[in-house]
Amino acid sequence: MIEIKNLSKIYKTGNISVTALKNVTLKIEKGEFVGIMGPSGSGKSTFMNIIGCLDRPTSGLYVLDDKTIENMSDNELAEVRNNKIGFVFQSFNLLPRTSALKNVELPMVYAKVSAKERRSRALEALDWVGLGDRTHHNPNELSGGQKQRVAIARSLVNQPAIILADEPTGNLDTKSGEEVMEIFKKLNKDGVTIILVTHERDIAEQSKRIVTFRDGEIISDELNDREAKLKSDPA
Amino acid sequence: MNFLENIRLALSSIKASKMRTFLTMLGIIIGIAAVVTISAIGNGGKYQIQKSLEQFGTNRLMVYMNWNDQKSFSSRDYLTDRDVEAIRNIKGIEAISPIYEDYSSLRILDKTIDVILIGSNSETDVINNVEMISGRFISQQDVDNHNYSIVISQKEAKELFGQQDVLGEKVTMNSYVGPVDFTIVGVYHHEDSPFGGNVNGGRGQIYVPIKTIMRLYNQTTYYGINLKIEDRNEMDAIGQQVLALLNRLHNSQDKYMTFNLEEAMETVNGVISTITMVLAMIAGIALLVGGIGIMNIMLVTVTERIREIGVKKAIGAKRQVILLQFLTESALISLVGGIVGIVLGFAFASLASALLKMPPQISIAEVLLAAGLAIFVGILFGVYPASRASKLDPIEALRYE
Ligand SMILES: Nc1ncnc2c1ncn2[C@@H]1O[C@H](COP(=O)(O)OP(=O)(O)OP(=O)(O)O)[C@@H](O)[C@H]1O
Ligand SMILES: [Mg+2]
Repeated sequence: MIEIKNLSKIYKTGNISVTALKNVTLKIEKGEFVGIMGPSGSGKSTFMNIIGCLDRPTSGLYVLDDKTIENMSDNELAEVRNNKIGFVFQSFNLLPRTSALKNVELPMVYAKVSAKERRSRALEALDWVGLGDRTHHNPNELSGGQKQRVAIARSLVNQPAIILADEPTGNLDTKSGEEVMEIFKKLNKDGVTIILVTHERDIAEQSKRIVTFRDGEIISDELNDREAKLKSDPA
Repeated sequence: MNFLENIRLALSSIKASKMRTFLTMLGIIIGIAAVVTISAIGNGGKYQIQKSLEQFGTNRLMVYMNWNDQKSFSSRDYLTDRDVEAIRNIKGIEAISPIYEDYSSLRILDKTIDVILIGSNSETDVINNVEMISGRFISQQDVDNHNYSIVISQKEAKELFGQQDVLGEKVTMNSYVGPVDFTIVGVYHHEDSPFGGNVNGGRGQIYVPIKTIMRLYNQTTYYGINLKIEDRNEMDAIGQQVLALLNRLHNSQDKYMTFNLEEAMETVNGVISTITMVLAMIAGIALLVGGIGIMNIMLVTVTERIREIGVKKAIGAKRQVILLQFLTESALISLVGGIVGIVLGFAFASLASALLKMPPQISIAEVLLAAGLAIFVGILFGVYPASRASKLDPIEALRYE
């Protein structure tokens, strides 16, 4: 469903140009759980932003669900982000002074879902991430783990095909991180494609495929042995 | 993104910074209040002129002797009944009445009031817009028979008799030739002058048969004639005809003039309109400054919420959604400011009118116009900040610190 060919991204600031991605070629199928690793500055976030249609590549091809992103207008990209992709950020990015419920409703507002349906679906999503009792709390009244779970509820509420998570556990303690990972695994089991950036080996180990970046290039792309083993030998 | 959702968003954002919003609003409040106050006072002035014109009598034309040329008057130049009858034959004249007016006073027992004495024929009521309450106006018979009939207003009736039901009562008029008794034949409706009670020293007008008073004072000629013209568009033409006729009858030139009060009032009206417009435009500058204040604060708001805009874009908000959100906010700020401004403006206008002794005039149309103007200013000055917000790059917005 995601097909990337010779994709490059070059940032130009004044006279200096930084090549954040260099001829990246990659294919991700529906239902995969991809962990992305690599040192700081290796281009992971840049890659995620382009996959998430938040940013456009400098050159190269990106085809999402048989559609070439290059030819889409900004508004069409907004639509893709709204109904095909869910974002989870390291810093949560919830709207301040806005209840968990309203935060989760927001993507549906843009999708023009009726107020009644919005509410019931948002409540369902919050319930699903285990926050059925925190719906009317504002972000500043929630713990980091709770905030991230609200953000996940928001990302999945429009039933996207892909969830992109850029270091979702980066700001969380081990236990909250584990809870968040459990949610992603559950989502993946339901058929949602998950792409997750992380610095932590044992987080990446929980995915089915690990892609490693260095200096804007993919240096390794392999199936996760442990996951593969678990799969072939469920006992 | 529906409209109500936008209003809700705008309100919550306004609530988050009440003081700042209020200060921004102040510019609009002052601007709109000034515009409303000025136009209300201006309209009040025009209304007053219109009202006094109606009281004076519309379509009224006065013919009088040219006082600038007084020295050259000879006895044959004065206006006579023959002139009146000749003018009456000109087509388009609804009523005609020669002028004889004087200050005088009325008395019963020990009560005396000062009045303006108006010599009338049976048409004077048409010219002066006299509205009878009881009895009748001066009749042709009164004039022909030199009757001692008098028509007073209910104000004089109350002052002299303490009541309105005074038909058939006698009053004594203090004339130059001694006291003369008149019988009240009618009472007319008194209306307060829109300029307050100070015109003519507060004297009311009373009507007596013109022939009676002229015989009393031994007069036979007039220096003016009042006319009421059927069609106001004909006033100038008929005025010219009257002058030509009088010149021919008296074999004279430039001894007579006409005066059209309506025309004079219209000139004054025009001046008031111009002054009002100029003042309203100056007030409009205050509104402009208010609008710039809105633009300024909206730019600050956009900058403060760049991350929020980034998040919204990341989860699928299109450009116009962001645009509309900020436009709604600026329009709402200025609309609320506008409403407060209208209320304040009305209060100021009422206060000013009370001091100037005239009624403030605010029409619904003008209130709507002011509210529309406020929204317009909000949108006009909100467009730039909102469009800046809507064009933000989502990545840069998310990364903004
Ligand atoms: N807007 C930008 N302008 C200029 N250079 C940029 C911009 N965004 C990213 N870069 C550069 O591109 C390179 C890749 O950045 P990116 O954020 O993708 O790295 P990353 O792998 O996500 O790093 P980290 O693990 O620290 O998050 C870096 O060298 C960075 O400095
Ligand atoms: Mg990164």
